[in-house]
Amino acid sequence: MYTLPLALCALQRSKRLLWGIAGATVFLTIAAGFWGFHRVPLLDPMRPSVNRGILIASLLTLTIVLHFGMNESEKMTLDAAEIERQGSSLPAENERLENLVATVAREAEVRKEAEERLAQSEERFRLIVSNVKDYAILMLDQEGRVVSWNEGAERIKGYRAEEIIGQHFARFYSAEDVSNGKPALELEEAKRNGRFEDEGWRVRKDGSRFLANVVITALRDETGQLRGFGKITRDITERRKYEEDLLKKVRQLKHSSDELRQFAYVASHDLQEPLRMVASYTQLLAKRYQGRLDSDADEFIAYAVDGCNRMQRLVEDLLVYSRAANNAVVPQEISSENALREALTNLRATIKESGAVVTHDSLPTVTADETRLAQVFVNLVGNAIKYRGAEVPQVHISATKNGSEEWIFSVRDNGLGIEPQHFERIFVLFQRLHRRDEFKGTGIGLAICKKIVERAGGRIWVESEPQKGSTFYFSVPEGGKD
Amino acid sequence: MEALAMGRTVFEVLLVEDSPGDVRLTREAFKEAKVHINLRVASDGTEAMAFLKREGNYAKAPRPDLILLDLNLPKKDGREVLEEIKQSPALMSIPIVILTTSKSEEDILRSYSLHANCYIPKPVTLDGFLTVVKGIEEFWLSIVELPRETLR
Repeated sequence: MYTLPLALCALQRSKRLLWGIAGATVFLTIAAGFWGFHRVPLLDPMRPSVNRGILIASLLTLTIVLHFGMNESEKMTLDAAEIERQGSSLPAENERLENLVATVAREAEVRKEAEERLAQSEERFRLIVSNVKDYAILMLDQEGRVVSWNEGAERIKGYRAEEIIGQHFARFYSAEDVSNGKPALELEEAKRNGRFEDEGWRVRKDGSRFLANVVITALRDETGQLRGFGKITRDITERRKYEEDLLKKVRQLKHSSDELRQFAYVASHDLQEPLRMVASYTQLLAKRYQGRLDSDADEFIAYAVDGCNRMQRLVEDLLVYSRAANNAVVPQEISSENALREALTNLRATIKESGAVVTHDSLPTVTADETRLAQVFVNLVGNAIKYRGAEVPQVHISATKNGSEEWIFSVRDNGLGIEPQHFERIFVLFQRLHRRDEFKGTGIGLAICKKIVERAGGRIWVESEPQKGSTFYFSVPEGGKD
Repeated sequence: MEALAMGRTVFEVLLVEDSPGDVRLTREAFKEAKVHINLRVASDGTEAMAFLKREGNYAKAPRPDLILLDLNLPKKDGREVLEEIKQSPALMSIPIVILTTSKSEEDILRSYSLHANCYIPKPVTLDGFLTVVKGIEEFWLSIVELPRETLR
């Protein structure tokens, strides 16, 4: 009967070990029953007392083992042989416990990671705030005393953290603001509305003033209890100065544009008025006295009349040019083919007289002013016919899309062509490449085209080879200017 | 010319114009008119209003059948003169022809808004000017039926 000491010994061991021992004990007891009592059957009716003794001893051992084994929490190590021998006695329970341990360990790990992440994020946030240089970001307690301070605050207001923390934020305000109770009012409003924003002058440590944009936000916990205030201040002195400069420049520009408009009116009226007098009276002179004075007088009158006529054309063209520059037009979705048709109708006489052949591809819908676009076509097609060579003038108009940005129109001719060194000059006001007795004109057509195209946000240029012809290109931005 | 023979043959026209050159050109052009035109001239806006209201020296001034009005005038501007006439119940029925060098869209729109009866930019050439004055005479003094003085 050595099961009892074995069981007692098992009390010292771990729960897991005890389960193994309990199984072994039952086995050994039964085996002893067989072999220890000379091969007598376990439940021999002839020897009931022996049988009962064996059974009772076995059950008692099992009860003790189970009782102590269940409450045992002491950790113990087992040597490999013992595990081998006893480990598989209660596999299901083992597995359950293992799982439990694993779950607890996993949860502990997850919690630790979360805590680390929170700490990292808080650290990152703290670093961001403390390193922000363009904004003063600070916390105030409920009374308005500074609780935290960042680099931006030091840069903008001039105080170091250690000298300002604990001080009331009213010291950022002018004496006048303080005596008017402005700081307190601001906190009051932030408390009431959750937020207060203001633009005004604030005072630095050295007493200098700066224009500030200030946002004060009331900070409350989950229960709605006020915990303090967040205050973000930006120095907008430079920005304000920049805005004021910009505004001043806009005013100046508007002024000069108004003056230009005024100039256009002067050109249209005050300049034309005396010119009309000179022209009318030389013409009247010519009408009444031509042939009644001598031939010199007739010639002089003819030059005077010619000069007046040219001057009048110049003044009128100048007026058209200044109108192209000044009048505000609203670009719309229009058919560029209609604009070309309008232009060709305008040029009907010129086309007929020169026998020119004008062809065009299918032209797109663009965002532009139709009258202006027609004016560009009149000038370009008109020039293509005017500066023709010996052959019958052939003019072709087409348009291609350049990416998604713009349409590029081209007007190609087989005319005289232009030397490369004149490619820029021809677009300048009153610049001409020909003598007046070769080709009439004031040298304003291409300048007008340039003005119109550029005002609409496009470009104009020419490609040409003398004697072979020219191609004028201009672009129209998709969707109009801007 | 039967219609004319039955209608009036003498017309009073007030020209409000500060440029003597234009006044003379207008006179020259009216010389060839088919009707007799008494052309009176006011050389600024104030004078024009005095003439129309028969003030001072103009106590006996005739009421014009037609006014030719320049816009850019010394003292009182043509635009003010136009506005004043068209707001005066006694004068508003007199047709006003704006005859000016300005071709500005603003001037054109504003003149019609102030009830000008028509707007003519002065042609730059002599022939153009003569044609315009002849046109004014033919249209306003012969084709158009003007209000009669007795009904005014």
